[in-house]
Amino acid sequence: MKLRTYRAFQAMILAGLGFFLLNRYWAGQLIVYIHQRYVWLVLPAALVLLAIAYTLFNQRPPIRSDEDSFLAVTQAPPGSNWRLLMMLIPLVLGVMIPIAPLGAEAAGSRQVNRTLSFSSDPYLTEKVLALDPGTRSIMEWLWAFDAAVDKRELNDQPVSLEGFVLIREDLPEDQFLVARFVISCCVADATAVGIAVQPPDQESNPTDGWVRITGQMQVITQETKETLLIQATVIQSIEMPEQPYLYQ
Amino acid sequence: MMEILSQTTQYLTTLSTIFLGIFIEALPYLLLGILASGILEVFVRREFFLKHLPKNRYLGVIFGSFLGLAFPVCEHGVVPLVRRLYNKGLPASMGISFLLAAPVMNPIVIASTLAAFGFGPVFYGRIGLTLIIAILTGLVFTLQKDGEVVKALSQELLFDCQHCNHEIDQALSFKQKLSQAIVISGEEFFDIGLFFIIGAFLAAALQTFIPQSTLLALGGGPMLSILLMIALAVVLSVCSTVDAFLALSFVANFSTGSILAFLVYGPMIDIKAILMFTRVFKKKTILYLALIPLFLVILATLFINFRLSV
Repeated sequence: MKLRTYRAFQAMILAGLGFFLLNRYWAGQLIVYIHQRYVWLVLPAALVLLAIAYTLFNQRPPIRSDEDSFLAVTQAPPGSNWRLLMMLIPLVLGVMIPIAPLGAEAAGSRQVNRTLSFSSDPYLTEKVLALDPGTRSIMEWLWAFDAAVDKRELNDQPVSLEGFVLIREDLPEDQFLVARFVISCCVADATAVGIAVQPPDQESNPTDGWVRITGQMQVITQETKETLLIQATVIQSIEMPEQPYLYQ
Repeated sequence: MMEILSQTTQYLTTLSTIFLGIFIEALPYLLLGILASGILEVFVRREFFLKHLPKNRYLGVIFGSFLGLAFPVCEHGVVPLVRRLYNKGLPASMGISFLLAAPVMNPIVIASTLAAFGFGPVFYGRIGLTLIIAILTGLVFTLQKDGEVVKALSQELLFDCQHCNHEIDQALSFKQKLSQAIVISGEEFFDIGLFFIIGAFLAAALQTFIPQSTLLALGGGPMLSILLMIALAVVLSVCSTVDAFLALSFVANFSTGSILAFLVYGPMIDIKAILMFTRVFKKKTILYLALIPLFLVILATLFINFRLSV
């Protein structure tokens, strides 16, 4: 391949990648891939990609070489076709495969943590226990459960939280898990966390999708281990929240 | 049939999301590395660079392990940068101590580790062990000739004017030089970035088929927990600038030694790094680069695990 053509393809791929990232940035969709803490870094990265694309395109060697430039490189480096194809992977995956946050399907084959370790720092312990129970997320409930010295103090506290429904075989038939993915850096480190839910009656037992659960927390003993169970009073189907993950 | 199809679609969607997660999260740091490399190639003369290097190669190895403080790059940015430094005449052993230490020994990572763990055994352990292991590994490579360790750079990654004389070089305007630096950075992206993409893809595939919960569920024990955490660091391939917060979530279930193994070995070696190394080092060097730190990390963190549990 001629170096001129190669440079043009390089520029197109980089520009495509830059515009793809800008598009995801403005659409607020980057949180599907990375922790919201690092989203801002993508903006300069996309601009740098566009600047490199622009420069590569402008610096293509001219079509006709000057008389004295017979020594100049006019051919693309070896393996350039292969390089161009491989560099298209992120763009092709990003554009062709519909954007889908990790949810019930991805959690289906994974272990769902029903306990979560929390800091041993007394200040943080106190802080998590002082959170208004009605606003705690699944992650914060599991933290509070870990932090509480007497787990029973969580009994009968009001619950109002969102998550996706998971039916698990290790739960009694009339119960299900309400779960979320927790991420620290990016979706590569996502872990699913969940709490068992006891629906008010059989009719309101959902089988999939996102739900808002309102009810009361119970600390129960299961096979000699204490665990959390939500006694639900209302189970309401909802759309997937704007921020599908919980961030730690 | 329908079920297999839907299962495959599900795997593909998860794979794509995780791959893009790893790619997007590390991209800014990789770009920082290739830009630094392009600028270094065009604006810093080999003679100027060599004049400022320590003459003693043992001292050079120690100096190299602290270079990250001046070039704040993580493990993705450091590979193109170290390759460029080699081209400018950096001794192989010094480059190796820089390569292994810089992902931790830089202001961003020091700050994020401090934010996650505070001043304590994990913070001091991470910095201390990284320095010791990077220096020891670098010293091993002082025994070899540079040509046996490092591959030569291919033509498209070099400044066009390196064969011409200094008058022509000086005749180029700042803008022209900057354009050259950006073109070289672009070439670098298509060269080393390619291996970064393959590495991210492999890491995403492993994550899709072997979720970290499966690894973590394998359990503890002073030795097994270290090996698990090292395996997790290699599989996750998370950038060192952000891994401290991730490690924090393992604190309650894993020993200090194994957390340190994750925080020290992870930034040095992971799937992406090994693939990117193939553009810089000869095969034998890559093997040593993966195994010497592995052996030292296991030894040190095992010692910490037994020491702290007594």
